Amino acid sequence: MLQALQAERLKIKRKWFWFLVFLGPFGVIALQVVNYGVRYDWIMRTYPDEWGRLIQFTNMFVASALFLGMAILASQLASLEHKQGSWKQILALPVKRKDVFVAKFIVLTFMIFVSSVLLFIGTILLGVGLGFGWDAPFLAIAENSFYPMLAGLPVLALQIWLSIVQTNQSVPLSIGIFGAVFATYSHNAPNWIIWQWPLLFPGKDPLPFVGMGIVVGLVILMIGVVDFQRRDIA
Amino acid sequence: MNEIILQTNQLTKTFKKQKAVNAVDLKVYQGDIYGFLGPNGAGKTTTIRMLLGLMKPSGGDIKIFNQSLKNHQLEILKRMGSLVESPSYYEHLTGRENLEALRLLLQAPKARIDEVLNIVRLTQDADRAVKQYSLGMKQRLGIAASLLGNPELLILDEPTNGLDPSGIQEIRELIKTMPKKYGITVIISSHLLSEMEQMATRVGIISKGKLIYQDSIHRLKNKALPQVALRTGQVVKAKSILQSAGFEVGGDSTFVTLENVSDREVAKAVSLLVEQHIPVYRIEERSHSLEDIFLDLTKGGELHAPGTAS
Repeated sequence: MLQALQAERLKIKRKWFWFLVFLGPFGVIALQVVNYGVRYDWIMRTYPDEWGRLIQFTNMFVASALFLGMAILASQLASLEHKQGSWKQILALPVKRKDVFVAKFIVLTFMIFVSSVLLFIGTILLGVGLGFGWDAPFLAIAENSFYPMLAGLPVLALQIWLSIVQTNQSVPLSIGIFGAVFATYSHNAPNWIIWQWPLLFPGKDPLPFVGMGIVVGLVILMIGVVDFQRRDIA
Repeated sequence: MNEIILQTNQLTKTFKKQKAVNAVDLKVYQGDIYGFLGPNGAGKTTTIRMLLGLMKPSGGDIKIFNQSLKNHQLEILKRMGSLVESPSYYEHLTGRENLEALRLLLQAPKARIDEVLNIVRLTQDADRAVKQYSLGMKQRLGIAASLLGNPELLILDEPTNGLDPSGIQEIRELIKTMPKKYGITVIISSHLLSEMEQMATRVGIISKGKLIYQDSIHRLKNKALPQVALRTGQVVKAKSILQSAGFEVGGDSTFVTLENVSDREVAKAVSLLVEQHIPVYRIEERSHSLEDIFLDLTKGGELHAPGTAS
């Protein structure tokens, strides 16, 4: 497994992966810069809880950015192998297909984690920049930055699975984009729809979504591994 | 005879009811350069993918190094190297980085990269992005990759496809050295018999999913020896006369054909016929190239070529 991860690390060199990892949280924060820039006075007048509002505003775009990021990065990670027919080369080596698959999952999870860290830092810097002072509610900001990622693990696993088993990336990418759009409108959707879990509904306890995200994410990962092991590599 | 290194038993692969590979019994001995021949779409690549565990057989089994591939896939793959169809590579990485990515998975020693680069003579270009490589260089990089794990058995699927003549020549020379220099047994597929003729020690010919010939290249070449055809009157009588004189006789209703005959024997045959007052109208030599035989084999599915008795 370690070797598979090292190989993945080498393969993502010079491929702009880290730029995308940065772009997601940057975009989310940038939207808030615009939001506050346009109507700073009105926001400050209407909502006395400065940090609380900032967190909620930010949260509106986190899920969408998350799904887009997962879809694009998963597709890129899989395309590394699809592009020049490398599956047949690496899978004819003495490596377990499970390791190759799980390594891709771990790499993507790590990238999304880095994005979440950047979002955490970005949110604090934005708040400070807006003059809210340094006594930020760090725990709440951390929850807002990392819970969506954990609740979104099922989507992450699904994107990796689809991207790996499909040579044509239009299906996984379409699903990713659809998920990103859907997430903004899905507050009233039924609970079993995995695309709404990362929304962290205000007023609801987020922990069940986080727990379900981790469990269901691992289940989908396992199903994906079994499916991948059974396939013929063309 | 050397030890059997790879053996398949009734190997079959079915795609949607169509048998792409049908009950194939391959036998590869240690030290062979085994030419796996067949026209495009005959089932070569499918067979090779099954040998590498990339596809699961629909029936039959595969034994490599005396172990079943199904139960010992990782151990077996550890001792094998492969290049399947078009070369695989990561074009944004350099040649060396490509090999490193595979080396990590193989857990081969780091020094091995320089060794294989040297074998395929890519040392000078190792630090250029593969994007800029010519097809021949990519193919050589693929062969370097297949050698990384110090394999005992190398499977190359159409390694010269799309190369120019000098590239083909280069790869051929490289492959020829494998058994002697490195003790590697090689299975190499191709749709060109002429190419195999210059490398292979044994050949298997597959057509429409069935293995229709498997023997030494020497035997196959024997089939290509010229035969002499005599057009005579009273063909039946002529045949029996020659047969009783000890000739190997073939032919149809208008020709008598003789296999493996020297000039003197031809003269003897003619004089025998003339003595018996059988008119001889024409004497001609018919030669069949290996290519003819190959076409014949793969077209009809069985042997029509001369010298069936060899």
